[in-house]
Amino acid sequence: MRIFDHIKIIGAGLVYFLIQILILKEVNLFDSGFLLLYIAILLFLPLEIGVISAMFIAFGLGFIVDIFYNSPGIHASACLTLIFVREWWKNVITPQGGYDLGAIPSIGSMGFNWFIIYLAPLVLVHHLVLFFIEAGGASNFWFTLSNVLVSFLINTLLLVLIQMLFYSKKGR
Amino acid sequence: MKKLFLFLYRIRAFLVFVLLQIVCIVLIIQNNSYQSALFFNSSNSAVAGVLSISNNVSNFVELEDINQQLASENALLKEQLNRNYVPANLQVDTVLVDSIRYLQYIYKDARVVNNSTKWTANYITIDKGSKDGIQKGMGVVNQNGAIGQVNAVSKNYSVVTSLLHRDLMVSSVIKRTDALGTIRWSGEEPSQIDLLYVPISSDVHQGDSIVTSGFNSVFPKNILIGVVKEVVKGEGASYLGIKVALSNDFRNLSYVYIIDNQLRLEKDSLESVVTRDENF
Repeated sequence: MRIFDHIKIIGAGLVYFLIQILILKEVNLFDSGFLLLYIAILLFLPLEIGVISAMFIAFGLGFIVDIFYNSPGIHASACLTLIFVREWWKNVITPQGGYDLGAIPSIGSMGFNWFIIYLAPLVLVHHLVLFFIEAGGASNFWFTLSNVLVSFLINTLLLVLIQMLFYSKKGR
Repeated sequence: MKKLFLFLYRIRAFLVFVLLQIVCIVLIIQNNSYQSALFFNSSNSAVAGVLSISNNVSNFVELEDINQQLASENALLKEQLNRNYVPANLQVDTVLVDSIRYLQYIYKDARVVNNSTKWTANYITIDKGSKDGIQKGMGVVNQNGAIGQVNAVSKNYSVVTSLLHRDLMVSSVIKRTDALGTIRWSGEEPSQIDLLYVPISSDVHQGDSIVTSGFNSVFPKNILIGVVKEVVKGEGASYLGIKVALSNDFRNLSYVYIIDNQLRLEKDSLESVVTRDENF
């Protein structure tokens, strides 16, 4: 990985974060679709990044997002779980011959099918943790679950679209 | 011993995960009750500054609506002002006794810089803080009715617990009958709130106004909360299930008033003495 790649990842992360805080924070589709673009920062981290540093990144990101959402600990907990599951999940779905050095999870480098299989469960795990902790348990189970599912569909679609638009060309 | 260290080293990732999750859980539990202050919150001046940038944009788009609201409120206040004057042709055969001996409530205005309605615990950030005399626990209203209660204060900003918060309960009465109940949000629909603990024998109809009771020192008496939308009599239940349509559109708040109750300290300290005595 060259320095240039690092700068690109950090720059993209900042853009996702600012869009989340400034624009998407209060946007809501179909009454239960929450747009949570900031998880792209975690999902698009290089696959070879150490799990401990990744967890600190996840915790830090979630913590800052929590300050903006007035929900201390909730986003941080969901992000941490996402990264922890990702570490295990990426080993389960390793393609034949293993990952290339410096591979980032993207449609361009890993292919569409691999990417969907990689992305969808992680988004779902994040949303399940986030919405059920936020609701304070399962007292409004079906309502919370519908929030999770609608948001899951929208955000997965959003992330795939972003991949197709900005990451699809090889080597970019 | 060496084996133990090796084992701990092997599961170090899991240990870090558990440690950070414990930090998260502590943060979540600390904030579990609406009364506990949010320690990390959007009243932080850097955070609120960023939020007010994005709010400025949306405020600019909604400028016409905001103007409309403020103009109609102005008209309302002017009409109230008129009632304070004695008509010119009044015969002096009565003596007007002013029942207001002291100014109990002082209103301070503030602009909403951040607002949420879609979560189950919603907060509003406003641009007045301790510098302007805002304190934790003060009530917040606007021209349409009750909005919430101040939860955390920084120098220039405050965070308000919205009525749309699953843990915030407000003592309220049905205006027509003076029957007492408690307002609490179910966490689902941002335009409707539940009125709890109204006995099944009570006389409640669709369209009744629900107002604050003034029993706690947060809100004055008679601040509108909403009107009854639906009354459900459950089989064998001891309380009515009452759905109230909120008078405020929480998705669309731009200016609010913070209520500074001058007698709050006196009332609360007096009541705390009584509660302490009850324990004996």
